[in-house]
Amino acid sequence: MADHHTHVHTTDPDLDGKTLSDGEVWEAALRELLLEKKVLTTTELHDQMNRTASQSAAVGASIIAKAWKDQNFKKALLDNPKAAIADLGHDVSKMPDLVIVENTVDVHNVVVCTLCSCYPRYMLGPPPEWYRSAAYRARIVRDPREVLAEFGLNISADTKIQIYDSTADLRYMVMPLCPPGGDEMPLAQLQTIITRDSMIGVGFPKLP
Amino acid sequence: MAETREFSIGQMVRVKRLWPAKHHRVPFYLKGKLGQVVTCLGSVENPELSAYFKTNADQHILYRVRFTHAHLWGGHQTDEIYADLAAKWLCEPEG
Repeated sequence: MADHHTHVHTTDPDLDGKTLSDGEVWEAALRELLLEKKVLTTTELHDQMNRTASQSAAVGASIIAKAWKDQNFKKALLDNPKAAIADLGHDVSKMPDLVIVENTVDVHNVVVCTLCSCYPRYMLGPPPEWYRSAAYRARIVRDPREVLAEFGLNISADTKIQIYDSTADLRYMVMPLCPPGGDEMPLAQLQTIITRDSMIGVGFPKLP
Repeated sequence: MAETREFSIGQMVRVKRLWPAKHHRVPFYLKGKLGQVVTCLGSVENPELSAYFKTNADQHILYRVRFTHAHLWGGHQTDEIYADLAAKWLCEPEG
């Protein structure tokens, strides 16, 4: 018995004694199989990890800010989002088709995927936990005003709420209403007030 | 099977009340409900096959359909719910 280990060594030095969840075990098993069977190379895997890590709501915010300041770009963006985004120099080759729905004083748009968690990752990065929760997905289509109030948004009774349930392969993103005076702010500053939540439809941009 | 456009913009349609026990892209809360076609989104591969990695030449016309909150849940809210649904899941309101 003397030299035998009675505990398991993990291969991951960052685990720090944490137990792997089922999901993490499945991920590791699948990843190792895909690499072993040469379905993926480690280079492809890391390229995708880098792409995923570089996606964030800052991308969407920069595009919305430009649309607020440039009416021609805004029109092009609403007409054909992918083409307009590509014209700014973004690589949209792997991006699913995108629809941008514009908020007005009369209409407030909200995005959900009741079937799973489809989300415009190229524009907004990975979805927040609540977006994937059964509670948000079930309740936003049924009690939109109550759910939005819980997010701190009180939508006037005169404003119609339009919920976009991404049931197919199109991704939806909201173009929030530019707050008064916003279009006079410098582009770099304007970007910072366009939050992720405002582009899902559960938040408003905030003037500093 | 190539499909011609079966539904026109503005037309009322009913979502079929079918419950296949396999992958399909129709939320339960819309089944059997009446909506209005607002736009045609072109044709897409049938997700009911591609979800199982089946080679898929089966194209379906996709429509964006508007449902009123009042019709889905009752009450008088003027809010609306939009969903993208394939022609095979839609039928005439009487159907």
